[in-house]
Amino acid sequence: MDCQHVTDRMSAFLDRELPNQEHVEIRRHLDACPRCAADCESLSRAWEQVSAVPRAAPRTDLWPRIEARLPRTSRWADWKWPAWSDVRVQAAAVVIAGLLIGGWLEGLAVGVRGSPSRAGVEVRSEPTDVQAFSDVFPGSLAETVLKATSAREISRSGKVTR
Amino acid sequence: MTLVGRGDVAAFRALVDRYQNRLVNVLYQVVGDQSEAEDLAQDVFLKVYKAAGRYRAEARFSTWFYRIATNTALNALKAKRRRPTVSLDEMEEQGRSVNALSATPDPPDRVLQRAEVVRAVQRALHQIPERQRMAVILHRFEGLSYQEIAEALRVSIDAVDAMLRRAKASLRDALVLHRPRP
Repeated sequence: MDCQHVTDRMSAFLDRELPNQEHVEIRRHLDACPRCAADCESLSRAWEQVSAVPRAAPRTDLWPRIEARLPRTSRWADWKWPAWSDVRVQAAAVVIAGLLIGGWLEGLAVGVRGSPSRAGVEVRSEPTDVQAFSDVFPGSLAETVLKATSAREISRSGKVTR
Repeated sequence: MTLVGRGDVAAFRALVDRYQNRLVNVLYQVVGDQSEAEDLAQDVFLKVYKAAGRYRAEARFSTWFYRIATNTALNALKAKRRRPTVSLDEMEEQGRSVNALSATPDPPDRVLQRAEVVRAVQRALHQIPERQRMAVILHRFEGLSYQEIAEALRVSIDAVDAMLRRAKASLRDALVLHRPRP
């Protein structure tokens, strides 16, 4: 091992970053070479002086200042969808489904009665699935809806359109 | 860190408590100003909080943390477009405080001599390039290995070796006039 190689590797040698074998070889060279040993000694002394630099610390706890700068979280940030196993969720789902089906049936029933022509001639609608359903199942929701919509139209126009 | 990634403020506070002294010291050694170091430390912690969800446990936390700190410090220095101002008065004041607390007070001439050496080291540190200085601080104050410094600075291990070699040589040259007399 020559002096140039030792000089190149002296920094890593001082920081104990060399493989063990290379570290031993450099140590051996330094024991035998006064010039490299002096060079290593001066470098080591300078390097040790860095540890003499006083350390700094925050004058006060940083947390209050950091906390004040944290992004504000929405009140809904922790929202979680309720589980389907919850009875209240199931009850709400039944009510919503009932409303939707009721609205759908009412819409169909309105379609059954059609709309009067501009000439005032009554237009009869073709029987629909709702009518067929109410004929097969008298007293069902479909029949109730048909009656309700018929009554409403009578009250508006004074005529029965069915 | 997993909890911090989920927005757990209590876990984040514990992280701040644990790292704030070390971080402020590192930043202080880089920028040379206490107030600026504390402001930058806040920025670093907020970046850590925001990026915590992206942290992967296979990377060592300290390396990831110091990478954010390094980028923040170097960007701050770059933004100022100047060499960092060394608040030597403040640093010396701190050095005097350390000496004042010493259990076995040194003779006055010895104290002065030591303060002179500390001042010379600080001057030398602030005259070497910023990335070299960062490598010195991470190694000397934080005890990071060459591998960890390389990851924090996103350079090769050979580059870290070269940076520290040059930094040592610069320090030696700067301190040769301040060698304590036997």
